[in-house]
Amino acid sequence: MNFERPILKKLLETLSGLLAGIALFAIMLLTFMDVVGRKLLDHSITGSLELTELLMVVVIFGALPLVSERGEHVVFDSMDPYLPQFIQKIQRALVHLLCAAALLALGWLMWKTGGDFLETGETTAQLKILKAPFIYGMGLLCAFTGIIHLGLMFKEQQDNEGGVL
Amino acid sequence: MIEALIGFAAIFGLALLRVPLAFSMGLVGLVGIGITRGWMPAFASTAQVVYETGFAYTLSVIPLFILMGNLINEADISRELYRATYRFVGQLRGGLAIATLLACAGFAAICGSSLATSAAMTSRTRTGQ
Repeated sequence: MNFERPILKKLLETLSGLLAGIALFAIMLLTFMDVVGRKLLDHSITGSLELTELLMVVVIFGALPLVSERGEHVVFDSMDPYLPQFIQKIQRALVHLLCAAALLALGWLMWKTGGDFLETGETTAQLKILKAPFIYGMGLLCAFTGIIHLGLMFKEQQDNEGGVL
Repeated sequence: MIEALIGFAAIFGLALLRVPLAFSMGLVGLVGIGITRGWMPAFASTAQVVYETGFAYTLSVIPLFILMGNLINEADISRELYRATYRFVGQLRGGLAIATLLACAGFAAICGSSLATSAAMTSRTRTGQ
């Protein structure tokens, strides 16, 4: 059982990182080509704005599981020195539970919204890309992040937990 | 007015209990709209906000700036910058602090984001000092 967790962790880091990284790289390339085309050739890429918007969704929600897994959400840790160790443990578990509940609920909400978008068949203005799959993806990744929080509930906390403000 | 104050108090209360800021603000917003306007509008507006924030074109500059800051850092340009400014003002009294400021200003001029600057330059200048 001991070897399972690192593999899962590695898989998560690779998949999530690749998804967000490729999307970010695509945004960079797209912006670069767009500006070069506009300045030098008088011709910008059609619908680059929309493509950037869609890719932003992938960047944000693709990186969300990673942020949770590494404990890099912004938190106040000002109370930590005043609380005994065991209360901190319970507190962490409860916070993870709350985050998991919020993210699972958000995932369900976005999945439902995706259904609405599919029904109305809303597309982007220029390229006519269907928006629904991206909103389904938001929901799935939110729910996935919620599951990660559930998993973290039962794990010893790491030292580097909590983003730096 | 009272509702807003209660909301702020709730956000800070949750944040002090170590709930990540994103979730404490989101939850308080959701519950606040739910209580004052009803739960269906609250869920609808939450979905709307998440959708709109996700599809925000203007937000795309932030990850791009941070990416550029990281590239500059990996390419060791930040170290070179720091060394150059240190050579320039290092012999003055408080030269190290002035050099740090100048290097940060130079880095900020390239990347344009104070957040990315502090993220990239902190580790560099700490080893230098």
